[in-house]
Amino acid sequence: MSGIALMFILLVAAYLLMIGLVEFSERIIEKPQLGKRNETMASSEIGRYAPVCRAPEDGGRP
Amino acid sequence: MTTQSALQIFLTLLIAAGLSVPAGRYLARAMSNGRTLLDPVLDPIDRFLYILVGKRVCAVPMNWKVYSIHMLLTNLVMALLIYLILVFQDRLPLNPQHFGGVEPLLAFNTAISFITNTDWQAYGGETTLSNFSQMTAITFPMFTSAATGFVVAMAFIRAFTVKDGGSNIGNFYRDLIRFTTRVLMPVAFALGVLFIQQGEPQTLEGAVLAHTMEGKEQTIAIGPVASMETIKHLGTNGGGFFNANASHPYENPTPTTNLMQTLLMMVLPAAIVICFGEMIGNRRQAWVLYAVMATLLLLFLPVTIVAEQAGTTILANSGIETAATETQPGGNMEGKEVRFGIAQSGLFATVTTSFTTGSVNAMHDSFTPLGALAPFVGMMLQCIYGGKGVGFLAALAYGIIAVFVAGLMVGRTPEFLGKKIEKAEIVLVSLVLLIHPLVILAPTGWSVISPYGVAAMANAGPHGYAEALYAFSSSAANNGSAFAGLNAATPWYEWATAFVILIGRYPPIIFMMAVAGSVARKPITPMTTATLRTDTAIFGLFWFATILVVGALTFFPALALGPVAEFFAMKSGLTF
Repeated sequence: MSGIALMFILLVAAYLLMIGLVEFSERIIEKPQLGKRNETMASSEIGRYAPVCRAPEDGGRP
Repeated sequence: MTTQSALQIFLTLLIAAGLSVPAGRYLARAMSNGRTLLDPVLDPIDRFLYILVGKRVCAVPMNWKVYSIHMLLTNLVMALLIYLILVFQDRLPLNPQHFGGVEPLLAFNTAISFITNTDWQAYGGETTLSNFSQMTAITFPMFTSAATGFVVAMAFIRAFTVKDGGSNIGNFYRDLIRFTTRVLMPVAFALGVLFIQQGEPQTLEGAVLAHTMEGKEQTIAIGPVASMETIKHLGTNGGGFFNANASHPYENPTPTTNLMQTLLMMVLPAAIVICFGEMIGNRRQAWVLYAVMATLLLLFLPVTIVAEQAGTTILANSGIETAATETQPGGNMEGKEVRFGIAQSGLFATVTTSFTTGSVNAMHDSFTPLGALAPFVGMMLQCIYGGKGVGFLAALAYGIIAVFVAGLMVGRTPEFLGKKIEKAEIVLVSLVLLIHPLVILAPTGWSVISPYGVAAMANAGPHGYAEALYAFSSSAANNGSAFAGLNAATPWYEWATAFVILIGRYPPIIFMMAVAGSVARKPITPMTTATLRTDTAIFGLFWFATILVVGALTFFPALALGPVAEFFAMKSGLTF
């Protein structure tokens, strides 16, 4: 009987672990995506970097 | 390959491809809540099931996370039910042969195996399970596990079309019920009747006692076989009522049933691809994927047939006629049913592993080393159509990698179906593609260096190693077929295959659902001239190459130690 109970518990534990994996996956997709941070920085600080971003023919550095 | 063999195979593939198109369109309509001809009969059944599950929970819109958790919890409840039925079958009805309760570890292995659509069997059905167990713990999960894989694929596809940020990619219970009542139940019932007509038993009796011509007595097991056979193939399950599976004359009595079973394995996994095109509104994209999968199938299928038809030098030297004649099939007939011959056995073996069903009409352990290569590749790549829903997801995982790499190569933003592919998707898809080889190669390695792993092998050398490699490839791909030479009913293999099945099934599904959740949140990027198109023949070629290169790099060393080494050893007269 103890063997039956042990396997029963193990089966429940295995699926709970899988539910934990759902949480883990959510953390991966919740993290800032590549590129997004740069886009935000560029838009908020666009004035500061604008001269640097000029093309050489417009007076910017090559 | 003889002309007759080639014609048989060509016609079977043609029928399967022909059926998959209308089936795919029907699937798309049924899963998008469109009207179907069966609605007047099935709507009341649906409503009853919604009440049974809970009307409220069946109406809740689910995001990827809620969908996945409900999927896992439903699977857990069913796995526990299967486990309890098996261990207490001696106290339950319909046990005419008075079988005892199944031993807990074996019941644990079987519960995980059947709820995950794997159907790996470390037991002989006719000598272990009561009719009640066969119907409730084996046949019932064949419906639900197939439906689970399929609805997850549906939820994944919807993630690319929703415009609400992914808060509603469907309702797990509604999808599960609708797929079961609109697809699995009607087809299983109709073909079950046909299988009974063809000679498959469908009875609640346990066994009949036959008196042989020699005056001996023989116990012949019978039971509710036909009802299991249809869903076994339709749901790409594969578990047999009998230990000999589809090579047993009661499971596969005629060439008609053999053809039907081969077709049943192929139609729905291929139809999912067509359904994908209908649901995303881009048939061209679906045909590209369909062509990639078909090319892979057509690439490996002839390897098995040609190798089996050629036989081996050892067979030829033993005086066995290996050339096909009007009266003899020639080639390697060891482990094959004379009724089916080489073509139908080779086709069945390739289909059952490519579409990850796992039923067998010949013993794969008896195939020539090269003949066994295609079954190995089918399970290792897992995306040559693959099992119900999950094979499709594996193919898309390769597709996303292909998009990313192609984007890097040509300097364009990686996008798939209008959604940007970024770090999160690549991390998740990489995990999907890494888990599969990990759970195959690590336990195989342990099996060949541990005394208890080696003790269960019937053969030595590369063939013994191939038996273990096959067992874990089959478990990880949720296939369930076996190289019969391995004794899987030992503690190591029961523990190891159970965990490999579990890890081979759920983490890839969860990670792909997370990809769905991630892309669903993103806006659809309008296609411009700078977009890398994924619905072209060139991208299809790149997708195909990605699968082959990643697959070859991952698995070729393992195959080189097994079937390839055995092939060269056999050429020099060495057998194991």
